[in-house]
Amino acid sequence: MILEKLFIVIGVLLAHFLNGSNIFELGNAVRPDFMIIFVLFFALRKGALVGLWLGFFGGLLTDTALGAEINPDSSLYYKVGLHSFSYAIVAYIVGKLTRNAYTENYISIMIYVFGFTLLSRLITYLLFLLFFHTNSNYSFIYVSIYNAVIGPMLFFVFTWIYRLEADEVRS
Amino acid sequence: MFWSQFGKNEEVLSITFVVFFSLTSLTWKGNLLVRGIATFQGIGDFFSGSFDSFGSVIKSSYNKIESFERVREERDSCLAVMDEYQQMAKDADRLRAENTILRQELNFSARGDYPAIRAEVLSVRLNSIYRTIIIDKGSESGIKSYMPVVSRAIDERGKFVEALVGKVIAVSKGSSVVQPLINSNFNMGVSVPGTNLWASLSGNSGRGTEVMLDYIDSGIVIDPHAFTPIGMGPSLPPSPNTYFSEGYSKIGKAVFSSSGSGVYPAGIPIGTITEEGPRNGSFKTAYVRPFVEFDKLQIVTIIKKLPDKWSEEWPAEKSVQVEGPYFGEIDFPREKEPTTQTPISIPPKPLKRVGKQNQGNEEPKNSSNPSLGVEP
Repeated sequence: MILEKLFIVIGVLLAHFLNGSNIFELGNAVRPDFMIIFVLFFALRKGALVGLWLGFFGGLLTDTALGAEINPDSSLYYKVGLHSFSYAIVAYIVGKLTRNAYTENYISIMIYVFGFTLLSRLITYLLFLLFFHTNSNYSFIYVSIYNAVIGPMLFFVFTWIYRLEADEVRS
Repeated sequence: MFWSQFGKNEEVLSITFVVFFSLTSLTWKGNLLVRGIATFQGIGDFFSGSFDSFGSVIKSSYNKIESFERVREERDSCLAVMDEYQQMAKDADRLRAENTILRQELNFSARGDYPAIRAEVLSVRLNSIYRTIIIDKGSESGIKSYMPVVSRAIDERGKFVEALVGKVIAVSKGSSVVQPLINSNFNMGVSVPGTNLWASLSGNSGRGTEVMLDYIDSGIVIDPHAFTPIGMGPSLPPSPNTYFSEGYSKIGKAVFSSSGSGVYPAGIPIGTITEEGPRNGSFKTAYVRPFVEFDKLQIVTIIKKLPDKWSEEWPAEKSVQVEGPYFGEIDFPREKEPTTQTPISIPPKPLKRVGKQNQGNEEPKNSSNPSLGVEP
């Protein structure tokens, strides 16, 4: 039990580090979002509650890398809460509403990963717009397509590492 | 008892906590808890950088093992040559002086005025909603917020330059967060040497790795082939009398920092103009491709320059006291006898009111705008 949780924590850290890496860059700032794929995998396999907490902590980790900025009054402000909210909510929706209708195959993984990556980025964008400022550089489609393409492969890898077969979990 | 109650409402409590915590952190952006969480960034990005370095080695080892050997030999021979040069103090002095002259001629920044420090890039988060670069040097190395960050890059003529990466926005003990040019909140003043092009550069261009020049005077030709429906300046639709040669074009020209903001030294290369952008009211815009390739960034240089003094304090004895507003009320001599001295002195020239709107009506005693309806 403890070992399983430790492996999940390692997985979250690994996804965070990979997000900050240039290795998977396709050019023009297009790179995958490993964290949301990881969160979606656990939301589908382990349910809404695990997905919610994993999304929360994974998002919190992502938010820490956004850095701080200095206000005109010399006070620092951080951007904590953006991804922790969006990842957690998306994972909860996936675990709660779509899990029962989910049948795992390459196509369904691609559709799910594409759709929910897009949704998570849309929520993050709206929160950023609401609490900070406009951002025309944020990529929605390209990152979602990239995630959808690598999603099935990563699901296969996660299934093998965490020993979580889709059929076993649902039954 | 408590745990059984908690277990029953576990899901509701969890989602309430997550939503409450996230929205509170976003609303109250600098609270103690948020700061505590944000300090994790330094630790996390150390591992991220190590992981990135490890991954890069694996990736490049597929096809570059042979070239690495060659590069290593070249590097060793270069180091040997450098050792020889280090002993030639006189030659170095001469070269330094020559370098200063060349820098001035090429409009390079006088970086020699400021000390600089090299830092390794730990992570480049271009995928994020708020693009940042994390480097492995922090306050321990004397880095402070608002210090400019540059990196080696190749300019439009294929020469090595130290091009602008961005500025430091947050510093911890052993790492710093750099706001790159392509961050949506990045703004600075730029110019094109030898031309009258001055503009504001914004990272919020809507394009992946390009930035936008905004507030360009409409009289400046950026792309001679681009014509807009707004007929302003030289961008009018072509007629037999209008002709712009390619020499007018700003496409492909390099953009440099103008030192307008006081954060960056003047003359730091930024990038080249690639395309004319959409109109911003009566101003033109253009897209700029930075010289720095952010996805290949490994080493950066932080120029230890703090922002210039934003405003100079004016001595109190020299301050000018203006009594009353500039466009103050005007007393018309025929209507009111001057009894007291007014703050603004009007020449004792008789004024005559004109304007059809007031004919036949009782004239107001005062007018708030002296330029309307009044002629000598």
